[in-house]
Amino acid sequence: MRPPRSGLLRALRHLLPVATGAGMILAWYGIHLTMSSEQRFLLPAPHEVARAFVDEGPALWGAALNTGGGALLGFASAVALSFLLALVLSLSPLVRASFYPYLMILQMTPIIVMAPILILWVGPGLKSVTIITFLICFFPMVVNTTQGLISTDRNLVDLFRMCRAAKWQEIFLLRVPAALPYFFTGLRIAGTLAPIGAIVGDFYAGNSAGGQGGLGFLAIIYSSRFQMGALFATAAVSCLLGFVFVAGVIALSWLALHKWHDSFSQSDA
Amino acid sequence: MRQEGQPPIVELRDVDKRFGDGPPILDKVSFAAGRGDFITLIGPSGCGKSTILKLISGLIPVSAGRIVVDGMEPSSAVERLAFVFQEPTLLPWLSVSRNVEVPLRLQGAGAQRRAKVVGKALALVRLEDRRDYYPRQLSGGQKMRVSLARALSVEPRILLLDEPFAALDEITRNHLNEELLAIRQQLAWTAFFVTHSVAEAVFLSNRILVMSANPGRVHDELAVDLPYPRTEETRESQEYQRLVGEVSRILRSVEELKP
Amino acid sequence: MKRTGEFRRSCAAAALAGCSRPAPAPAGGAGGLPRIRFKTDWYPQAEHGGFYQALARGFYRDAGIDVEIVPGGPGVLVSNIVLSGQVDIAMGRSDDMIAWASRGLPFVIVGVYMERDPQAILVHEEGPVKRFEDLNGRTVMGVPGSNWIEFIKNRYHISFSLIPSNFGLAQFMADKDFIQQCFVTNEPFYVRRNGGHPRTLLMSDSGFRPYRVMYTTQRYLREHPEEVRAFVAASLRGWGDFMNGDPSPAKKLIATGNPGMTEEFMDYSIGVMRDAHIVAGRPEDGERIGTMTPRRMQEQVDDLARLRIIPQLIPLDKFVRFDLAPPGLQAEAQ
Repeated sequence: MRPPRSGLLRALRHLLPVATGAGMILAWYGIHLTMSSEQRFLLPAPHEVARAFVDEGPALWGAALNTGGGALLGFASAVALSFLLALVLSLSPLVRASFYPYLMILQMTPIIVMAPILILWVGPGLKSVTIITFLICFFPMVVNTTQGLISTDRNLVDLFRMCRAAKWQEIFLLRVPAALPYFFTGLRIAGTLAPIGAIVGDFYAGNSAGGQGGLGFLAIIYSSRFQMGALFATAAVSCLLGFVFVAGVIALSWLALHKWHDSFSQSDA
Repeated sequence: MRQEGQPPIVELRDVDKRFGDGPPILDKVSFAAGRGDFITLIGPSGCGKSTILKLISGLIPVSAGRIVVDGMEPSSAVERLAFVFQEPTLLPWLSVSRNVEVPLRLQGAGAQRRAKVVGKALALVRLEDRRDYYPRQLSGGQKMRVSLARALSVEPRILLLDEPFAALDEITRNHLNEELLAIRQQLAWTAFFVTHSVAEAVFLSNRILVMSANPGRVHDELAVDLPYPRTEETRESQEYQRLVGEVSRILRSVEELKP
Repeated sequence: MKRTGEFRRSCAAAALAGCSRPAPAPAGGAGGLPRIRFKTDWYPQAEHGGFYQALARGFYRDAGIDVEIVPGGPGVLVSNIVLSGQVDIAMGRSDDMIAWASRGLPFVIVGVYMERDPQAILVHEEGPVKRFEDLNGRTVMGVPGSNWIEFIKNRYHISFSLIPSNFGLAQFMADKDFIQQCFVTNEPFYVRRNGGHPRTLLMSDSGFRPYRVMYTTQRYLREHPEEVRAFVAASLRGWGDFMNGDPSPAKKLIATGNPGMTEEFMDYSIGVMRDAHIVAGRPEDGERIGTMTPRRMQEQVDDLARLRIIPQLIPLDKFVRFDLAPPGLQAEAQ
């Protein structure tokens, strides 16, 4: 009796999302068709969005690369600098006490307000997009990594001290590896935020080199021209970009953690 | 095991300890350990037994009094000491063999020497076949044995053990007690052991110090004259049972003491 | 009141689209006259002068309508507001109308109030750009999606990068090589006032020649043709009076609605509108205040189709009505 039923369950688990998706597309068509002709253009039908993907394909692809590139640059620099700052902050509670309030202030200031200031200082283009992305990613990473660095097991620190470990040994052989799970938590948060930061940067900083704008830039153009299908397609591409980033981060954290950390537990024993 | 006529390897003289402005944890604690002693500290919670271990290891300083370890200040003698904590305290991102070699790595020992020592230590705790496992793949008892192997890797003269087997079930605990004594046959270290278990105290040690709390003081000392090597049969002997009863009685009287 | 089924469907659509229902018939305003809400594209300014003149001098009342001018502002999407029925008529540009009509948006141009679009490129006199061709390889600050961008690139066979406009002048004043989009009636005044030497390149000189128009939805026009006609006629009368007569009534109204506005600035704008033939156009080109020709509309449709801003040609009657202006201003029928 058992094998057929568990096979059925597994099939269901794969089929159900597809069925729900099909149902949602049908509902979408339904809503689209019941809208008055004056309102209908606001919710393009699924096939219109699909057509926009084809028509605007090259523009969407170029914009995705553009935004993705800016996001990656901002993200990578945020990772590097946040790690360094976290190392410094982990050294002493006094250092932390003197810096944390200002970090908090910077974190609370909305990016939307900082972006125009940045553009005026730095100028438009890739530089600004990178900085905006950097700012969005930087703080979650600093906070998480610092937390990880100072949360090392007290006994392990004692062990190292008893072995007369040098400070750098304590930091790089003990605190840093122990902080990796926290670091990757911050990385995951930043990875979700990076594409958003780059798209927001687009709205203010415009295009980067080569005359090609990013996804945010395209969104402005499509919305001003009421090209709704293309606008939906842009949203879908932005979503995909977000997935790519998160997938990348998860892959990285798998590489680093899967052997020893519970977040990648092996299947139930 | 104990070597008579030698100067004590560890001596505490009138040691006081308090943390900041807090109440005194230890008050005028004095005792001396000879080479080869296995001393257990037992007593109610808050009597400062773990604190004594930390003081001997040099991890924290005394507030008053003196500790001499192998003729030196505790912080200078640190190479001769090894500490086994209550939790296995393994580095989860390292395999068993890499965990064992951590102290040697920190000291800068070469790869060949490390391999040799690690091999020996793992053989002592009978975990050679698990050398490439990661801590999360080990049971509680196995993790503790790795922790022990790590302590032994530095060839310590003094071994400090702070309730190392408290989190384990009784059968594993008894096995590990026997293993510990078996290792002691081969390597002659002096041990300071903290536990809540009277049975464990009597089984392992040749001297038991019963402490009282608030503040911590040495209330009573017993000699355990059971011969080494000790086995499961020792647990059934009459002398063993009697000693367990006596220590329990002293403990009870200590717990009823008013501060 | 609407029937239940229609009501429910339009509410569902409205909930999705975030718009309110299309407005019912204009309720009686002052003295029972039909009320029209007219949306402008910015805070009150001289570039809206004719409408304010008509309002201040009672031309709308004379024409039998009660008009309320609703100013726009930064970030305001006038087209959405018209679609949702929050206003009845609005100001816009003919090239935008064509692009929207090609997407199926139900707008219709009912009249023209400026023969020439005042959009221009703003540069420093000392800067490297003297003509449109000099924009090649440079960076320009403008509104993304503006049709002039594709037009200029195509017309002069050049390419340039675009930064989204922040509608300010800070970067321009700080950098002599900076190039940005502007209104010829507006930004140069401030540049000069801050000691700069501005030069403008008027878009319509490049062959990009949209009209500045009054527009509404097809439905509103269908339901209120007489009010629309009255509005167009009175507005054009106001523009004529504003440009040729004494503009003080309008200026007073504008200053009340926009506390930052100065007499000096309004006079400047009016002067430029005259010198650059913004409102009335060039008579030698056959242009007259308030006229729009099918030929020029068709040119714009052709241009936009050629630039692939619209996917294919669309017929003029899809987005413009030539017969709503007062007789004498109407162009020949197609």
